[in-house]
Amino acid sequence: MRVIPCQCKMALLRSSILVPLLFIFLADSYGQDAPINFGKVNAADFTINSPLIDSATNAVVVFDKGDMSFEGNRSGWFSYVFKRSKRIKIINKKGFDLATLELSLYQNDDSKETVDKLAGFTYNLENGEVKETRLNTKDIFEEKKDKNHLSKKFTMPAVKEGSIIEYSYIIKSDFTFNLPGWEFQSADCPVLWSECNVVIPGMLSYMTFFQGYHRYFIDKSSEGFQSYSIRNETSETAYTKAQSFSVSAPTTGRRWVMKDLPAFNIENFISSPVNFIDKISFQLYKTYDGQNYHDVANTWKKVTEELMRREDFGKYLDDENGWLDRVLNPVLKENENEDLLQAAKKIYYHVQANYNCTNHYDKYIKTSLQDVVKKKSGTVGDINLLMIALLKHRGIRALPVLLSTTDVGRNSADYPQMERLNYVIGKITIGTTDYYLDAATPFLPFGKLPLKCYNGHARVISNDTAAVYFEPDSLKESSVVNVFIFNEEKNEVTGTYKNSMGFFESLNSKKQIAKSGLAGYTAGLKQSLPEEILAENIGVDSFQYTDEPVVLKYDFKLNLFEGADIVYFNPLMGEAIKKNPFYAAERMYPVELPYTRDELYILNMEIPKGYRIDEQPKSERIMLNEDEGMFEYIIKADAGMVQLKCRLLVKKTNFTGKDYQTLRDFYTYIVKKEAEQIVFKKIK
Amino acid sequence: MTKLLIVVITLFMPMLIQAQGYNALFIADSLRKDADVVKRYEEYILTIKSPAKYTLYEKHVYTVLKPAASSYARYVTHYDRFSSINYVSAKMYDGMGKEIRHSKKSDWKDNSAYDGFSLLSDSRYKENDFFSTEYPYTVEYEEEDENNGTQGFPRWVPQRSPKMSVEYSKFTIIAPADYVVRYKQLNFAGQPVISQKGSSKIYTWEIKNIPALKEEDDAPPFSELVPSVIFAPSEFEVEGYKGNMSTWADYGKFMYQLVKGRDVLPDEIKKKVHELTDHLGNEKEKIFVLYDFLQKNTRYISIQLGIGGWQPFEASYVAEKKYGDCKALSNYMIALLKEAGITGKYVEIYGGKEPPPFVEDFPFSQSNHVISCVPLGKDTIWLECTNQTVSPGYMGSFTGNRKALMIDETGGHIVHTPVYSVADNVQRRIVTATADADGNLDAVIKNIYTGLQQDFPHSLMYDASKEDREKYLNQMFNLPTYQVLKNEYKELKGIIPAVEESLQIRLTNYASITGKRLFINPNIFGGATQKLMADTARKYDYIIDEDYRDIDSVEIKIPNGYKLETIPKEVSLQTKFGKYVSSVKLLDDRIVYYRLMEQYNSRIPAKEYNEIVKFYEQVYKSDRSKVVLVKPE
Repeated sequence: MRVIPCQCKMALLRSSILVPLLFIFLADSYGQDAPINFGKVNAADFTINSPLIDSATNAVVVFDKGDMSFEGNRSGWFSYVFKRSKRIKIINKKGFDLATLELSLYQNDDSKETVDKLAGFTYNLENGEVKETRLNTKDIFEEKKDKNHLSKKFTMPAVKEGSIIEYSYIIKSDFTFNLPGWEFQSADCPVLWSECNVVIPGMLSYMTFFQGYHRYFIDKSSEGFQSYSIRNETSETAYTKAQSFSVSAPTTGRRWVMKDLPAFNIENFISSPVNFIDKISFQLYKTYDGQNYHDVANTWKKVTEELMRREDFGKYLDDENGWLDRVLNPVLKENENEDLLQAAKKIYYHVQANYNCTNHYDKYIKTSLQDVVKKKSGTVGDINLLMIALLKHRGIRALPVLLSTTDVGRNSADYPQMERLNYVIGKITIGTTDYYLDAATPFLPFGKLPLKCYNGHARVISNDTAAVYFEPDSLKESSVVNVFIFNEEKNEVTGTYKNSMGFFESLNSKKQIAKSGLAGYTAGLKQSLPEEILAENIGVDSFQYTDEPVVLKYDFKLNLFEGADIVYFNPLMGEAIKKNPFYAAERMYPVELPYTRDELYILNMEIPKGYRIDEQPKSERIMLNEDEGMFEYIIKADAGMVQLKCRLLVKKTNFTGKDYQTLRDFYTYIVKKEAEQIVFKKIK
Repeated sequence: MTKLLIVVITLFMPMLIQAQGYNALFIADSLRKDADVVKRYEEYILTIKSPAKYTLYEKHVYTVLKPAASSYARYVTHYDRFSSINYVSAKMYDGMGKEIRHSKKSDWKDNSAYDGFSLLSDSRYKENDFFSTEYPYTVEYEEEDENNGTQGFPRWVPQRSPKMSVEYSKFTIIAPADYVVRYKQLNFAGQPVISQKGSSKIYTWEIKNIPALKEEDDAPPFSELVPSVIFAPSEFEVEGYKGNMSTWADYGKFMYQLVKGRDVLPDEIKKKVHELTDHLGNEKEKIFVLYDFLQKNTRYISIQLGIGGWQPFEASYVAEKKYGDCKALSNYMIALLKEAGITGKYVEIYGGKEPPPFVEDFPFSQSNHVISCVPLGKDTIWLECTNQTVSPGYMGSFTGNRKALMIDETGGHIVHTPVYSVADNVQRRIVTATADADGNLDAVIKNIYTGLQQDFPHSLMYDASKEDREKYLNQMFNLPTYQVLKNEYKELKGIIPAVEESLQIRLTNYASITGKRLFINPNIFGGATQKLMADTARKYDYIIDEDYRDIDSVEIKIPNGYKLETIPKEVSLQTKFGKYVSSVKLLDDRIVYYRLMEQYNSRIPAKEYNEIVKFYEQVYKSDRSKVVLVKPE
């Protein structure tokens, strides 16, 4: 399998109206045809040979084809027509889920998407003969999800192990800005043939985005000519009739086929599988109305300008917003001499503490900022735009920044993919320093962002529309654990433990304490310690301060040395990594870690009275790919003391599939080393 | 003068009460203790207009004290074809009891109540949520619904969760005087106040000042700890079908008429039944063959329609579409049996791992699922018709060990599904491993799971894809670094089914080698037992609700040249709730380990709780003990 580095490559699908076309290609007249005859199933079709199918395969998509074309509509323009046909062989019961389908249709006040010619057949091989069962239209159910979404649901009849199912449908839509994307690969089962065809009239130009790891079997373009009849009923009045006209236009076609794709297997340490599946998506960038070209392409400049004008986004920020005094005055207490940074912090923490984020995927203001203030809750757009409005009102330079969170996939810096830009944060500049703020995430200190924002390109929404990048490589999680073990008077071995947590561990601890209370948190800690460690006086510092890292401290009694002749002691106490996090033996996709690490563990131990060291682990150090990481285990001992310094460094966050084995071996070594024990013997 | 004074009082008193009522300062300390939320006021008025119609008025007022209870600020109300919401309103008050917000119509979100698996369900819900980060705050919800059909009535449970205390709650039923109001009180000592008003009879229950409960793991079911009253219709009507629920006989007869006559099979299926069974002499064989036919030729699709979701689709529907929900598939199975001359019965049951206790002496619908059975006395055969892979006659943890209601023409009959005992639920594991000089281990594992212990491996075998199974196997064990090189599953069908699992695993650095010593824990794959925290003030009994037995035999061949330094002591514990034995020996170059763990369904009195803690502590320690070997210098 050849691996193409994954990135959003961009290609333009251009059609030109100026070049006269003398010959017409039919898209299917060259290249290779699909290996099946859709709609006709013979007994022989039940036997499918493919190296991708083994005894454990539950189902296989034999054929999946999407044809996207256009027709004239009644509002004076084009609608797209998306025709889908699919054949699946259900091999065993685990594949039954593929026989149930849900089609989601969008609608708004102006228009609604429709589904036509929905047809389905199940074929079963009975005594060597193919028996056909038709999907009854009575068994297609409709459900209204909400104001804008309707869904059609059905399950195929007479499905058994070994059935072949086929279904096809046509979706028509006036929402031509985004065509349906095409996913070649399936997460459920292998796909033997996946084909996407587009035929686009010259009036429309689409930008195409590709991503994935597999190569096209066919990638051919073609040119043609087609007539479209368009009606404009929107201009119809009592005096003027609806206009009808026929448009002949050159067309551009393209055919993509992928063959023999294994099931997309989602692994851990991937920020978003969305980034890796084989997929094509389309966005309109130019239209031609017969006289003029209209640039509908989203450029950052255009998007930003539009966002800044939008009632539910930027417009609010430009308003005088006198009413904000009411919110701001109690927070700032009209302290005129306060410096801007202090004021910014107060505003940030006020918004964070008093507003609840109910939706992390909506960048717009739902109703109005006044309403947000009243309800004390809102989307991430509501809350962070309110924060920005407040900051601006106080005279601080504040701008919104749009980004994609890790779970929706990365977005392109070259071209705005609005559907992926789901999150908004604030950027403020005080003096020469920029701060990025997210008041929609609880417990987050001023100037910090949650992990999900570290997803590459983000865009500042302002006149100069600058790109900024938030990369996980820029994050470092540093923690220090200090353990001291002493001999007590009464021959008891006791100690102290102190963990100065890293930023993200602190954040998690704060959340946990907020959820289960300090008592619950410390009880959980007690329960997780090895049985020989009895913790007491557990203290958690700074968990109530958003700005500071958490420090966990406790005293403990070590119940190991009660007269035993030999004592085996793991000097890492409960801190050892016991399980290799990279559990899969092999991997194709890259590893994406959330941050770089620097973990330090230091032990100072008085050797318990009456004991001597019989054996101790060796000091060792290993490097990960020369300088991408390091693990060291340095132990020193004399008659009275043992000292251990154990440090783990991982300096980068993105490892290719090729590096996987090295990374796994690195952790194998760490787990092994951290399991080693010091052996104490009683002095006789 | 006197007259004026009276007027002033009646005008002012209610407002005064209202204003004070929601002030969080007035919550008694006893109700604040351990509470995250206080139910300040609650009222239900259930008005039974006729057996076919009732209205329900509800009012709930909660003071949320802590963020952990902020979900009580959210209110969800369901409706469907049979019920409509006359009105619903919501208000929010600050800690002083001052109104700060009220909901507008547009604040109520209207959603489809998709359950995640039904193909079709007409259930929808409206919801409103309030937010405040200033605690305490109070929310007040008020609603009135109209219901067509009286399949069931809401239950009165004043205290909904352990960390909720209750100031006041009241439930009123207004019914025609001649309507028999049926109720059953659980942990509720009082009696309803009954009065008559015109042609109606009014029943009222009320309760005051219930403190929050102590939250403890493995406590008895919540319904056993708090007061509640269950209500059920006597005469009722659903989509024109009339019935009476006062006795199981009448309830069953009603259900029977919904099922009756829906078992007509197409000729082609009839022929198939005879083809499959006529040559078989034994009734049991016939049942198994037909069940196998059902499993191979149908699948489960949930469609919640038909007489309030109570009536199954006809057998002919299933025969054609080859799918159905639990009712349709059970009905179809019974039809297949009937064609073969065998009487199968329709059984209503509560499906789920932890069913609510069945209330035997108070008939009402207590099920969410339907199965079928062939009554053969002690050898009754139980058939789960929605599962295409389960052994015939096996119920498992989803429907096993519980009471259910069998329906036939004579009515409803309480039956008990099979109980699976310690001897049935066994995991027998045999491990043969070889350790090399670097501490790596090559292990061959043979597991035989039976009874409830095979439920999970059964689903690994039948429900998980190959990729998912491998992913699962490669992270399930608590081991440093390992790879499952081979996995194989085999099922042995039976009333107590078994799954045989063979694994081949390579464990990297499993044995820890430090200089001349080798440390190895012979309990390689077992022993992920829990550690309980000691508690001298345990309030509730401790419930163990799983009977099982695990037996591990492990043999590890060790590298040459090592001698024994330390070996864990033999442990043998026998208590009334469990048994544990572990022993490890070094025989020549092999470590031989044996472990037995049994746990018994039991209810341990709270005062004996620390004995359980001690038991698990010893198990925990023994399970983690290592053998230490040393190379003589």
